[in-house]
Amino acid sequence: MKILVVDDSATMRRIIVNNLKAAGYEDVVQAANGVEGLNSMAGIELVLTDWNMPVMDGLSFVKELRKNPAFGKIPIIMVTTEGAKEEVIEALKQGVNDYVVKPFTKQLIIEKIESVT
Amino acid sequence: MGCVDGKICSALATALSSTLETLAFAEIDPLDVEAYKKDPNDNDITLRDESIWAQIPFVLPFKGYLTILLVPDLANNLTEGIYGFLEKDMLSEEVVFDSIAEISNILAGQFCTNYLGDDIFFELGLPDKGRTIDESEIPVHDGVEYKLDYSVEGFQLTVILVTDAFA
Repeated sequence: MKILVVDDSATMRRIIVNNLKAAGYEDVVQAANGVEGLNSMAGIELVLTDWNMPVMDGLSFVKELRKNPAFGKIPIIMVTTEGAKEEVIEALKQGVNDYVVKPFTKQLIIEKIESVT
Repeated sequence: MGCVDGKICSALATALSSTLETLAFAEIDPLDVEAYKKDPNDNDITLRDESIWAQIPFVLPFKGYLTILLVPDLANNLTEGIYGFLEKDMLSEEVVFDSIAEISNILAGQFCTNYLGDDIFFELGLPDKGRTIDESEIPVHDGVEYKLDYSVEGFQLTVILVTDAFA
């Protein structure tokens, strides 16, 4: 499965990629914001995205993805610091499939991936 | 001002503990810096001199900032803890700054969740970061200041909260 990880923090991308690779997900592409994410969607089967990013934030990125029929059904997991119920509801409304609040364990993020794929 | 508000102190300590333990496998303890300064011969903690710092703004539901300051050795250790094994030549200042900025981001988010509860919407801005030997060079802001010191792996880590929300 080809996975796209979108986060402006190289550190957080590294943490997520390490967790994914340890779980056997070797085909991982990285982007630093929503615009880079939109330009990296070729062949992507799952998206993990941060919310709070410069240039294009995660929610705008999700909205853009869901507008495009080609990406309408790709599972999206939001990985972010904002975990209040209103934010979760807003993210789900915009087409996010599930939500992980930082900091997370490897086990949690893998469970979330397995639940949406 | 130290941690005179129990709710703030508890929310912050819990946030810092979960953030550092989950990200970098590091444990924290409260630190009485003045006590260490009074007896420098019995000091097994490295107090801050030069600092790596990261600062993140609270945007909603209150305005303010959270700043963390730590000695470069601790910043390097935490970065190595986050990344796992890291070649020394990969431990660039950019990588360390990014790690500390991400810690401040997650810490601020965890603090808001602990302090406000799950039902209240909050929003954070983007982090700023730097290195200094003069704490006065770090951007300051109006508001009530809470300054809390912790010991992490034998090094001092300071968290400064500035906001009008706790006045």
